[in-house]
Amino acid sequence: MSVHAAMARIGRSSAPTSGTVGSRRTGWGLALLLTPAGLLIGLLAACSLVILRLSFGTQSAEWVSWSLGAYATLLDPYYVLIIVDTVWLALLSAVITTIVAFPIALYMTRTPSAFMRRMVLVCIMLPMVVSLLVQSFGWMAILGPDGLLNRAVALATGQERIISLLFNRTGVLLGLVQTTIPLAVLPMAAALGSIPIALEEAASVLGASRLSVYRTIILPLAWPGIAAGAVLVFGFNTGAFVVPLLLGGLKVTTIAVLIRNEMGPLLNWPLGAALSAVLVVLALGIQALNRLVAPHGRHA
Amino acid sequence: MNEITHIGRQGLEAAIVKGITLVLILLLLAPIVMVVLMSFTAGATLQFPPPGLSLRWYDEVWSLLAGPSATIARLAESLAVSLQIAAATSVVCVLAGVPASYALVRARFPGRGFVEEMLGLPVVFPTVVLGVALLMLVSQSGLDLGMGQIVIAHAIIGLPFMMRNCMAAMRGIDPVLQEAAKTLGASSLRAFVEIVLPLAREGIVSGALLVFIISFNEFTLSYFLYTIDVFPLSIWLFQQSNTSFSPAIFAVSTLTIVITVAVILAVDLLAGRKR
Amino acid sequence: MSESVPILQLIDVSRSFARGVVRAVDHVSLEVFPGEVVSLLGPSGCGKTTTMRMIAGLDHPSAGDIRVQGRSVVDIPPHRRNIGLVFQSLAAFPHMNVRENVAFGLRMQRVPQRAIGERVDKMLDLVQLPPAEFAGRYPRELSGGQLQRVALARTLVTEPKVVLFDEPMAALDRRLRDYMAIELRNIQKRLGFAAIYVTHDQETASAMSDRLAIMRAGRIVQVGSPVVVYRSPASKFVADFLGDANFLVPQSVDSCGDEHNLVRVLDMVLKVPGERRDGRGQPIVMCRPEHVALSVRPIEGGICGAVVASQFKSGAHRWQVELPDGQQIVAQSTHDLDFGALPDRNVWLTIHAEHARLLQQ
Repeated sequence: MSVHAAMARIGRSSAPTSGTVGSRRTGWGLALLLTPAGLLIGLLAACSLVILRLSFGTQSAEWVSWSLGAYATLLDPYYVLIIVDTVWLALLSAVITTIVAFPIALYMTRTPSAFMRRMVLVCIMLPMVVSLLVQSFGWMAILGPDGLLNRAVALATGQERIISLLFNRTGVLLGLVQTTIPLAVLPMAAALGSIPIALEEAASVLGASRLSVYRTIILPLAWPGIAAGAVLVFGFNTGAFVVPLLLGGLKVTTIAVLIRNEMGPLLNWPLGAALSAVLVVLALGIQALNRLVAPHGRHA
Repeated sequence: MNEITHIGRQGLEAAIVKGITLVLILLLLAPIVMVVLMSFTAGATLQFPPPGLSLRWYDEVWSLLAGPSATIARLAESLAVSLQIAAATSVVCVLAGVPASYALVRARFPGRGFVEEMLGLPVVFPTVVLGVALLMLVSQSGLDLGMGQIVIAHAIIGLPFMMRNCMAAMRGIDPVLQEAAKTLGASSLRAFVEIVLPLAREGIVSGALLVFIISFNEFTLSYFLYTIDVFPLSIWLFQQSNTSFSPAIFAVSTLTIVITVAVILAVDLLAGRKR
Repeated sequence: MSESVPILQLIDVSRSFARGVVRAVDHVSLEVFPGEVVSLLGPSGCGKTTTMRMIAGLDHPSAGDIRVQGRSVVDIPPHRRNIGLVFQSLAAFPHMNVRENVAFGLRMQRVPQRAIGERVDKMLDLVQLPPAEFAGRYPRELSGGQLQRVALARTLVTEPKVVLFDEPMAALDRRLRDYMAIELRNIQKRLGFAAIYVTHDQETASAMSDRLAIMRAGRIVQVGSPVVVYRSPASKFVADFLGDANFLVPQSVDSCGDEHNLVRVLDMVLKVPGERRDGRGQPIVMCRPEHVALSVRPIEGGICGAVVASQFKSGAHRWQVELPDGQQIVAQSTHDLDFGALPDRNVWLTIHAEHARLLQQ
């Protein structure tokens, strides 16, 4: 900032003849202000380039050779299936999360109590922030063979029958929904909150039932927020790693889990890198959908 | 505010919405509540309901933390490492996020939208890819960054959260206040320190706290970047859960939950005070 | 005045925006002398605020020079110009109490702590905010008028050479504004600083200033004392902007030397002051409502018109009179006029030619 001020002085001492002097001055200051954050983001970009480079290498000569072999391998039905399955799981989780988020967002915008609104916010933030590992322990205690659910079922039906929700797709889906709720609720609540109550009242006065008020007023007006949240969850969950790793019990393999396997135990870096490239393109591509479905979807 | 005349804010519809919300939140919080509950079990398994309540597992964790232990070593060290990483990450995010937020809030320049987009990128960038790529970079460069590599990784994913809070706080500051400070003899830098920083303090602190707990609880990046010397708590928990699964893990988990809830409440309190 | 040195000079100052497409300030020149209050007066968008910001150093001239005590300040950043500015929004620092707000400028000047306390107390007393009661309060706990005083104290305590006021009283109601204007003028006289008061409110400007500088579309169109500008406006715009004015289109204008003209308006021939400059647009006769006299009886040399509306405002009657050719003219008087006997409300009307002015449209 002190340099910013210094630059300001230098910019002014040259005879000010037009508005361009001002913009050159602020240009330097801006560059300085954005540098630290730019370095972090630059590292992210560098990571993308590293991945891209590795994906065109061959195994054990990743940094020197060039090959399309890794991408060719990806065309194998085994990998294609996992990629499709990952996207499907993410899409499914986005739909469920959006449905679950709607009443919560509705409540947050409508409750007259500021305290309740904040408490709800804290409650939905916790599942996203608390370590998923810790929460997976909790799920085990609930869904595990000796857990809460099976005990309750046993008590209710009088017979011992093990329902297994853990370590399969259901468990993974549960985890995916739970950890991304805030991503869906926040843009939705912002959109719902911006609908003037007068519109609802006007519709009611004009004879619309509450149901048709939802259908014709609330949902269409909140759509940008709903869509923004859904797309965010969708994109976020294509990269799902911890949830399938901890709640999938090796039965659910996503792209991210596959990347870990190839990069780690299997030491097939080019293949892992090619999968990474695919995953990045998918995640960012889905995020770009945001622009299509919700032009003003910058709520979160 | 005349809530009574507002349709849908009273009566049956409001009650239904509230009911559904409370049930959903209960479900969302169920695993967390369960962890806390089971950490007080008197039994040695995750049997539900617990055969009795006791503090025996906390006792065990305490002895792990306090004294040297042969069985589950390094718990104290891991906790310390995690707290240090989280604190360092917060500092990095403040140093990077505050000036960048200021630039984005105040300046109008071509490509501003693009820059803002780029700074939000880490939210949607797959964490696994980031972890793998950083691992490749670090191993290729041959540098030994110690916990620095995890701090940098966490700072990348924490930055958007930092900036969101910061920018929201700074948007509410009238630029005229800085101009007033300048006409009273403050340089640009001084005006920033005297006016912008104090007025954006709540936002900066909330952002830093949020980054702190994100880093403290983070698993994926730590998983790729931990070393024998830098062994965060999340990795410790992961290893323990793979080897000996005892309710002691639940006690440690409860510890992390308490820290997380405390920080979240602090953030919320700050946000509430701003309003 | 002639031997006095201006404390502030604007020399041919221009400011363009959008790469020269928009000229917000266009070759403005102005001198302000020590102890003088000059109002920059004009409608919104006339460039007065930009001019003020350039003086304070918050904006840079595209061309021209700004001098304080004869030295150019365009290369000096705002914090080293020692020019005070009271903002329209008052810009009280919300995170500082009254004492901290007022002490801010002194702190920036590295005045010793003890001296700061004394000077702040003195200044708060001067603006009638007793420190015992107000020093610890925060801006959100103050009324509009009190905030006003804080902003004033904060600016004046550093003893700037020139103080700029950017319509700081715009948010106050009429009564409080009039009161503050008088008080501000008293404080200014006591401390003796030079001031530029930027406003679109001609009443406050006239009440406060030694001189007015009327701005229009980036240019200063007239500078003079409030009385001179009111009585001898340089153009129809100035006449219209400063108070109420009647404008009559003359049938003929004949110069009779000595800066007077024989003007034929309706059926009257008036000897009106004002220079007739060729090629500067349509000549027009301006007269203020208080210089139009009405009578219920025929007057020699007067013309007949019909009263179409009347109102009583601020202790004076105002009548709107329609003339035979359809033009309307407003007359003002503190005397009552009995219309009871008037057929068709017809009145006779005369114009005090010496107070009228011949202007170019």
